[in-house]
Amino acid sequence: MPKDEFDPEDPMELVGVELPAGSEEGLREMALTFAEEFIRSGFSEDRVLAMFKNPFYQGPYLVWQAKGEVYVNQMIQQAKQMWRP
Amino acid sequence: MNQVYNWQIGRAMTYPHAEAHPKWQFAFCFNLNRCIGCQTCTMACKSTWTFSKGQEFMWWNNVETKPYGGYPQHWDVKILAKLEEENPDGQRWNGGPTQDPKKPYGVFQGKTIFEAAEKHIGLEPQRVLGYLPTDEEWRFPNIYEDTAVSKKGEPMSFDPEGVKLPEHKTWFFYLARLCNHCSYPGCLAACPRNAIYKRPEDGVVLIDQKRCRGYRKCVAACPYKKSMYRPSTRVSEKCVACYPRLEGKDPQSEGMPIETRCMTSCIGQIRLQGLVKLAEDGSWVEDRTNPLYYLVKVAKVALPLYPQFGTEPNGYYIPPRWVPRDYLKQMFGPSVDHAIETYTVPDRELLAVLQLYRRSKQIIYRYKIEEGPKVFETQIHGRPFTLYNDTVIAYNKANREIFRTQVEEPFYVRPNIHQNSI
Ligand code: SF4
Ligand code: SF4
Repeated sequence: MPKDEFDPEDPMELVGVELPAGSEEGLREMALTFAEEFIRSGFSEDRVLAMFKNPFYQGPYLVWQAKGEVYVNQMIQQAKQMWRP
Repeated sequence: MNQVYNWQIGRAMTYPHAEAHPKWQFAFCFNLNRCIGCQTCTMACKSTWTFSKGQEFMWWNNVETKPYGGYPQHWDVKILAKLEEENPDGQRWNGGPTQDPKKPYGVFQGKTIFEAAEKHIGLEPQRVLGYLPTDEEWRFPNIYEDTAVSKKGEPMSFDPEGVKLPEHKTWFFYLARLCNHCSYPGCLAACPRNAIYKRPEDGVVLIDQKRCRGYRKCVAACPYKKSMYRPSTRVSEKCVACYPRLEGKDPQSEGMPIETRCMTSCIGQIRLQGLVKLAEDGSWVEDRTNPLYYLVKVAKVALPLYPQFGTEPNGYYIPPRWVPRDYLKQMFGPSVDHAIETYTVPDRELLAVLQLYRRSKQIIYRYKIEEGPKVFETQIHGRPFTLYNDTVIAYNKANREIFRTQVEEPFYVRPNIHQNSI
């Protein structure tokens, strides 16, 4: 079987794991951390936004997909207010 | 069994050998808020030490996506479950962090892997509670994590959309791991041939390849699963902390100790490694301007990984801010709240020390901060904050300046045509 196809019979397959505490607050904190860390390192707002929109950056992309650009922009603005007022 | 003092669990514990400590100890502080899971560290290690026959499934350094990933698979869940089985509902900390340097995280009241083994009744008596992972568990270091696979029928290519990658819609973070060169190594304790030793000069834990007979007791005993069996030589191997670099023997180092390959290659700049000075009783000698001493003992932002296992690991982590606290407390102990608060609104010194990360290969023995002008005042997470553009200066073993950098760092973007040049 090619390694990129999923097989429910495969004993190595991770199945049915539900994790508690995947909260709105957690998601917000995660998004804000990404924004803060990169703004702190000197990234421009555009570059940070581009990262959120790039599917290869799974963490930020997950937020952008779930919450949309307006939300992500708010996070970036908040980070900017803190670290580049 | 002997009694030894383990400051990370705030009490004495049993250990198969008498207490003894090196003069200096290899240690590192990783900032998990910054790891991007690029695996550059993993490949740096692989291409240096484990690229030969028989080492195919051996990753001395690995980066796993928590909470669902692990190498070998489920290593931490399994050992936690075993401990729980030996001591049902007893794996708890008493109280919280204290100011007492002998018990900074409080006192762990449960059983360590050494204590739990005493009562464990199984087929064979064990010195250390552990288990031997199966071949399958070793084989797939990042199975079903978010590591990209190439597009079908197009080897060596990436899917530009990336949307076919397995997706986990929850919080997650990358946990970069290597051998912790523990103060009370589980691997060393379990070895029936005394083939494993801890170097008195730097605390690095090594397996004597000539003495080892491949019984794999260390593989079972290391709670972090960082001792690995090599079928082609029939002996076990583990991370050697790039000791020629630590000794200043690398041709690049001009005689000065330099950090390991995995540390110096870190793209996310999450890694800082060095040596800390130990007193005879194993406590850290006050060394106020050693960055590791500052991060672990003064600011207390960096915490040991699963201190309750009892091996006194020397890898420390700044916990990721967004992860549910219960999960983090199980992983890093009761001081998580303090560490996260401190990191989220850093003070002047912490901000400067964080700038030391990955500016040089050389091990930083000391830093100095020169105060700079006030840049702005603001509120960070509701707390007043002032940013000063301080300069932080790093010194090597010979007390020579390695580099100086500022809190407000200039940012350069390398032009496209030079992206892959050295
Ligand atoms: S992490 Fe494991 S292999 Fe490394 S010193 Fe500790 S017990 Fe031994
Ligand atoms: S090189 Fe650094 S950022 Fe990349 S995976 Fe390793 S620890 Fe994380």
